[in-house]
Amino acid sequence: MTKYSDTTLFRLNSFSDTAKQIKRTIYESVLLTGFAPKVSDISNEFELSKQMIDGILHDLEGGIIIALQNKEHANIHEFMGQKLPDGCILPEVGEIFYARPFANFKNHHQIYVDGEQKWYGECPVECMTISYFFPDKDVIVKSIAHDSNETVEIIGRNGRLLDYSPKSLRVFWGRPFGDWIKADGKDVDFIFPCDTNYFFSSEKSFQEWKKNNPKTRGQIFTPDAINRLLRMFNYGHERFDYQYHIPLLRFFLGLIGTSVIKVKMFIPFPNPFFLSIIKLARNARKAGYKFFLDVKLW
Amino acid sequence: MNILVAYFSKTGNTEKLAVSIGDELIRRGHSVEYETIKPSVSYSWFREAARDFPRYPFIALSLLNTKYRERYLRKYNQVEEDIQALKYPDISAFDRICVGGPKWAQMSYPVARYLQIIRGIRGRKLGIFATFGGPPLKVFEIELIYKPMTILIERMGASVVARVAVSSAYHAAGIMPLFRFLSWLQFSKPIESFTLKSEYAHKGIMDFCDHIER
Repeated sequence: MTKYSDTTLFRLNSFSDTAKQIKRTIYESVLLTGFAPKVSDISNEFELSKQMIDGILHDLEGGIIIALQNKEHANIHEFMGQKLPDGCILPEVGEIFYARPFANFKNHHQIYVDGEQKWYGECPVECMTISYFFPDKDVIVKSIAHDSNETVEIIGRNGRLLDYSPKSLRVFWGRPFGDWIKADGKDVDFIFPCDTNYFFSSEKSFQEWKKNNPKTRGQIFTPDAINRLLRMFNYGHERFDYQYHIPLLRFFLGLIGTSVIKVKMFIPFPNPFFLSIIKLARNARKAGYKFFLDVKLW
Repeated sequence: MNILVAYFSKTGNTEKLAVSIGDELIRRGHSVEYETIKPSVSYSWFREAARDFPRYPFIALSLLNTKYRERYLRKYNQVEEDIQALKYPDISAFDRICVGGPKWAQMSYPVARYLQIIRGIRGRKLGIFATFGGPPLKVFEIELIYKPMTILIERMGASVVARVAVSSAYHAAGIMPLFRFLSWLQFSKPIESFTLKSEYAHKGIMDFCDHIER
């Protein structure tokens, strides 16, 4: 595992200590039971007013840590193109829907640790580094390919991708950052950005799928490229002080030559798909969300 | 009481302190479990220290001004280090938790990571212990280790109820002659008067265990 970078250059906002304690409480519950606690239980435990807990959950949503259930997803029968399993109880509106990278309901992204399965992944992208939460253990994610309904298996340890099948597996990232929040900052939905993230059994089958879905703005990546990218952002997620961070030098040196940063004529060009994070920051601000991010040298 | 003693020890000095605390708590009738905090990779002392070099001027400045020190200790970016999987990642089953490690400028990196990742810490009562190279200088040795640990623990919703720190009379950088001189200058005693076998340490451990029991 990479060492935690302490070379913070500047912080774009920091979570309050209460927000961090609540985040910790949510993840402790997820790791212990597979599911997040109810918002009323959290506010009772911390003796917070509705206004205060709403403000903290709003910050955690803006920090892309959690996503709260909304009306659009309250009665879904399918999740990321797959029918919800029997016995799946969706969280009620206002409850925690995602505690990224975990989902707070049964779905087809099943997480196995030491043969035990009680956790569910949030999306194919986030599943790539979910093993950070189970130190020194082999974590297996079993899911279903969107195109062929073939079983997908990903094995990781300490955030690192060890193996995956099928070998031609591709991860589809459905919406660029810039599409996450509307330009007018209204009707913010932190669940919707992941709704169209899928596994594809191969690049060829993705191209066929794309012919029928020409308007999609998403991109596909190899599992290795996504794992390398996400390892940088998600490293240290289990820490009390964690918020998303960009280690600048590590980012450029580690991702150069991948589909994230391409080199043309010896000049590195970041993939425009990810540059739209600037648009996301602007739209989030309009929507009244703070952008919680640490920018680090290494 | 069911007590967890978690410690990181690079050279064995903190381990001796941890065992002394554990033995005393067992003698008083408590059940004690140990957690050894192990770094994922062991590096040379110079490579470890080099990660803190950029902060040395600020540490020096903080020694000169109390107000600046207060602010610095609340805001500085503590260096951390990956640690191996823990035997007790969730400490909620324990009535009291004692956490300790050597002082490296401030907190040692594995201890800083341990405090960041243990689960079930909210609402708990903790005791903190440490070893340092020199004599027990009030600010340079004591405050620079107690304060950062206390601040982090309190931010996590727990409280510190006991503290003890003793000298190991050892420094990897070979600056012990300076520390010995400071010991005579400040306390008119040899540095061995503050090590684990001293009356100073014995009194500190007894006091620590008294507070843990309360």
